[in-house]
Amino acid sequence: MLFLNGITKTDFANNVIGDFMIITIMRTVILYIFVTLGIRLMGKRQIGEMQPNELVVTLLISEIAAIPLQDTTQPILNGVVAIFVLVVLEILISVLSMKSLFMRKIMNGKSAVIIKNGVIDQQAMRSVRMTVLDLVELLRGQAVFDISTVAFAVLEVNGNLSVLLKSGEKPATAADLNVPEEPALLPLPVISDGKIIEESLEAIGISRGAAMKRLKGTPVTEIFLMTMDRSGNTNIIKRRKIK
Amino acid sequence: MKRLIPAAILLAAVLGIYLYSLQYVTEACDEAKLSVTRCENEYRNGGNPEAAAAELKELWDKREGTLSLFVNHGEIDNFEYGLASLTVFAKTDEEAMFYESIAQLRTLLHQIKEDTAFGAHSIF
Repeated sequence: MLFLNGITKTDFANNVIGDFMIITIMRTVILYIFVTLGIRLMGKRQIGEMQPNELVVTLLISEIAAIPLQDTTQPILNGVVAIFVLVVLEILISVLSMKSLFMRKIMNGKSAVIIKNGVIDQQAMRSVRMTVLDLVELLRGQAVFDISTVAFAVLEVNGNLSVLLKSGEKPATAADLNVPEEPALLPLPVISDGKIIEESLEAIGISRGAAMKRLKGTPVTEIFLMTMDRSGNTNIIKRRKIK
Repeated sequence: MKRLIPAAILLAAVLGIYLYSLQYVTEACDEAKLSVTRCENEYRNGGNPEAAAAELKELWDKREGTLSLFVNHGEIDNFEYGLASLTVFAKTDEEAMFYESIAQLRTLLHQIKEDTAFGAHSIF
């Protein structure tokens, strides 16, 4: 059946729509690679740990990447160049912030002491536009339910509240109880989802054979997770059959 | 320092791409403008405007692929529509339509060049 000027509906669907889809797929793949590369160059940070300038760059990158994806008349290079310029700016600003306290203050702001010796600094709260309810909520997030137990509470530039409890309110430590200190040993995953992680074995300083002995004949593929530390402490979780 | 080196490389790449695109777009637009003027002169002097239009089309077809990397594809399409009109009206005696096509092509070339060049118009 003819659809448009001698073109059948099938031809239209196969060629025009097909080509358009391939263009969109190709553009998405290219932009995905460039955005991932850009974010990797910026370094590892979680959303909650971002400084204001990093948040701005992340928001802008996502917006800029969306433009050439939605509008195929836009050259993809425009988006890629803009993303790279933002990444370069972010790196430069973070390096400058590391070198200069003044730059850090300008770009990231500075932290504010909200509570001193159990007393709320109302002036500081007003300057950071924080309500009492916000403060109480943040304190609860730090397992603090009584403001009078707080020696210092500092609102960090990334929005987190750091709390130092009064000395009498801190939980007892091993040093307080005169318990001899033991070296901290980091357990590493040696087998994950049935696969041996050689890097972990190397880091712990144990041979593959010695690690396998701990399995007591259970095949590696049957192991969901096995962790070990330098002293040989082992934790094995076998794979469960899920229906 | 570890992050500054890739940043510097990226910056150099971005600047390189920009300078190359600027040079390429300017060159292509200037060449096309000359070709448009040649076509106009041929029409005015009773020469062979069809051949001049075909020459312009050939020139544009050669440049189009690389231009689409830097220029909005809508602008390239508009130029092609204008070029198609010029090719048609170069064969006829419809003078007004021919000159309209010429003016349209010149405006589009000017716009493409202006959008790429560094200046207040392209920034804001």
